[in-house]
Amino acid sequence: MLYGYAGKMVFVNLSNGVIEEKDTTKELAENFIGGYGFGAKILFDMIPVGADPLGPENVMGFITGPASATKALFGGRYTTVHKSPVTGGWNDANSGGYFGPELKKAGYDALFVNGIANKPVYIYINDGKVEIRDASHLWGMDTKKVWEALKEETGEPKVRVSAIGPAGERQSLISCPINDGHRAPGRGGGGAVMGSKKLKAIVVRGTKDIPVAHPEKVTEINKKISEYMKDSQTSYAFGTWGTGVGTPASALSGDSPVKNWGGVGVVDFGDKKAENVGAIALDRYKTKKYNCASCPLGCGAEYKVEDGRWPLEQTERPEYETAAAFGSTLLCGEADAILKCNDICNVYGIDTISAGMTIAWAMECYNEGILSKEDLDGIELTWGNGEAIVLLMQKMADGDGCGAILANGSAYAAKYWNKGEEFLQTASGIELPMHDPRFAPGLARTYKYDPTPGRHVKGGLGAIQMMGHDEERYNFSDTGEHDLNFTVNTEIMNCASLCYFNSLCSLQGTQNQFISAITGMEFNDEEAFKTGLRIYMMRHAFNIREGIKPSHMTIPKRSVGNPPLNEGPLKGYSIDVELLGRNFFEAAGIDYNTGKPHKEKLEELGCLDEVLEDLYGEVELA
Amino acid sequence: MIVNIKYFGLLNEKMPISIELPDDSNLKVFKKILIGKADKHTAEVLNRATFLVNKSKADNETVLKHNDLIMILSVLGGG
Repeated sequence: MLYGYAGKMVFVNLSNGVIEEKDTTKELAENFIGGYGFGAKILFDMIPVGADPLGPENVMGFITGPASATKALFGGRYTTVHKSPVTGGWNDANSGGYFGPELKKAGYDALFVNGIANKPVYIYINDGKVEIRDASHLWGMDTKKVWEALKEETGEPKVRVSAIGPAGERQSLISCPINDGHRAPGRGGGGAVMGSKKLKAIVVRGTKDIPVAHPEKVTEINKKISEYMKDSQTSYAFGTWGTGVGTPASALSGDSPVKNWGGVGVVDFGDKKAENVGAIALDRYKTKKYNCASCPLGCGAEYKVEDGRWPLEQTERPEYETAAAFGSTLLCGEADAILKCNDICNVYGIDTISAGMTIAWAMECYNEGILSKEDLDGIELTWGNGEAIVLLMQKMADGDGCGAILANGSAYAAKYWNKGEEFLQTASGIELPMHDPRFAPGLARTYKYDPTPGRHVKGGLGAIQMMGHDEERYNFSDTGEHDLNFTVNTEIMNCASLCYFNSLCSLQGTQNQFISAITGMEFNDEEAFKTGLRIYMMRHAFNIREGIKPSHMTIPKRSVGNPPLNEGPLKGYSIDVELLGRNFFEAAGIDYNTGKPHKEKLEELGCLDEVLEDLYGEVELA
Repeated sequence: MIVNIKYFGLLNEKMPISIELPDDSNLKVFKKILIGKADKHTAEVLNRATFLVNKSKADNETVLKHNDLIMILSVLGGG
C-alpha cells in the first residue's frame, strides 16, 4: 500500500474526451513527493518542446501532496502546473482552501488536462468517477456564482470548485483559477491556460480516507506544533489579522515596493496611509474568521463593507501581497479602493499581484507622460488615486478598451503600445511580487533565476533575510550553500502540500517528520536535500529545454538598487544579483553559462534519466 | 531626554510609547533599555526589527535627541 497518497492520477484529454487513470507509483512518490515535483516530472514527458502555452499540447495539472487530506497541520495546499503563457517557461502556483484535499479524497493525487474542448466544459470528479460535462451555460459566470451553480447542478452542496471567471475565459494573461470563492493559485497565467482549453472549472467531491503509515506520529507532531504556536508572536499575529498584519511595517521598512519600485515608504507613502491599508485597520469590516483545510492558524477572514464608495455585501480580507500591490506600489492609502480591487480580482479570477503591478506600470507611464489620458480611455491615473485605480481594474476585468490590453500584464502592454518598457518591473516577463530584494537581497536570486521567476514562495536566502535586517546580508560572497539549502527545503514543503506558514509560524523541521510519518518513508535531512534538489533540477531542465538559460533571465534594475535609493532605510544598497546567481548555481551543480546541470550531479541525484538523455544524449536506462 | 516610539508589526500593547534616556544616548543604548523592558518574545522581535529615527535610516551609532521619533518596524514576511 502506498501510504499518504490516493494512489491514482487521472489524465483528461479535452480534444478527444479520453479519460485515463494511472497509478501513483512508489517510485514517483519517493522521488518527487507530490505537488510540482509530480508536475515537473510528468509535464517534462508530456509537453513537447516549443508547445504553444495556449494550445492543445500544453498540460495543466492540479496536484496534491502527501500531507493533503491527512490530519497533518498546515497540509491543505494544492499546486497547479503548466507551461506559462507569460514567461514561456515552467510555471507552478499554489493555493489553500479545501479544493486540494477534496480532490485527493475523491480518489486522485493529481489531475492533468491537455487538449482543447470544442465547447466550454467542466470536469466533475466524484469519488473516483470522472466526467467531462458541458459548461456552455456556465460560461460568463463569475467565480462565486459558478460555485453556487455547480453545487446546485451536481446536487452536492459540498463540492469544491476551482474555476475561472470571465478574465480566464478571455485568456487574460494575468487571470487565474479561483477555488473556494477566493483562494487562488494566482501567478503565471493559469486562468488563460484553462480558458484556452475551454475548461471552466474542476469540480470535486470525495469521501475517501487517505491511508497514513503512522497516524500516531502525525498526532505527536501536531501536538508539538500546537504547543510551539501558543508562544509564537508570529502565529498570534497571522492567526489574528492574517498576512496583512505586516503591511504597514513592510511599507515603511522597505520590505514592500513603493511607487512602482521607485519610491521610499517613509517618504512617499507615509505612516498614515500605510496603517490605513494594514489588516489591523481593515479588520473593522471582519465578519468571520476563515481557516483552510487542516490549518491551526486561520489567516483568512470574510468582510462586509457597508461604508465607502464601493460597499460589498460579502468579500474577503486582502492578503499582504494584494494590499501592497494596490497600496504602496500605487501610493494608494484608500482602504475601500483596495478592498474593491481585491474583490474584482476574486470574482473575475485575476492575479492580484500582476493586476496591481500592471496598474503601477500604467500609473508611472501616465505620470511621466508616456501614456496619455486618451490611451487610458479618459482615466486620470494619478498616483494614489483610488477612484481611477478601481475604474481601471474594472476595465481590465471586463476586457474593456485599454483594460483589454492591460489585462495581459504590463510586459504585454508595453509591447502593444511600444512604449514604457523602462518602467516595467517584471522578472522574465512576470510582474514582481511584494517583497523587495533591496531589503532581503536573496530574493533577487529567486526572482531572477528560479525556474518559476518572480515568486515570493520559493524560499532561498531571501525568505530568511526578510525576517530581520542587518548589514551582513549585503555581503554577497559565499551565499550559495545557504541559499541552496533554504531553496530545496522549500521545494519539499511546497511539494508535500504544506503551507508556507508551516515554516513561518510553526516548528522548524516538522515537514520531513510529517512526510516520514504519513508515507512511512525514511525521509531524513539527507534524503530531503537530494529530493528537493532533484525537483528543482526537473523544473530547471524544463526551461533549459525551452532555450531559457540563466543568462536569459531578467530582473528590473530598480529592484536590485541600480541605481540605489538615495533616502530611506534602504539608502545606498545595491545587489550583485549575478554573483548571487553564480553562487547558487555553483552550489547546485549547474553551469551558469549553459544553464546545464552537471552530468555527475544529475547522476548523483538519480531518477532524472529523461533530463540526462535530453541534455547529454542517450543514457542507459536502469 | 525623552524619545517617542511608534511600533509597526509589534503587537505588544504593554510596550512604552516614550522612554527617558541619558543625554547623548545613541540607538544602541535605546535598544538596550527598550529590550530590557520587553518579555522574551517581544525582545526577540525587537532584536531583528528595523529602526528609523525621524523617518531616516539609523544605525547603532546614531545619536538621539530630545523628542526624536523612533519607528520600530517588525517585518513579518508572509504572502
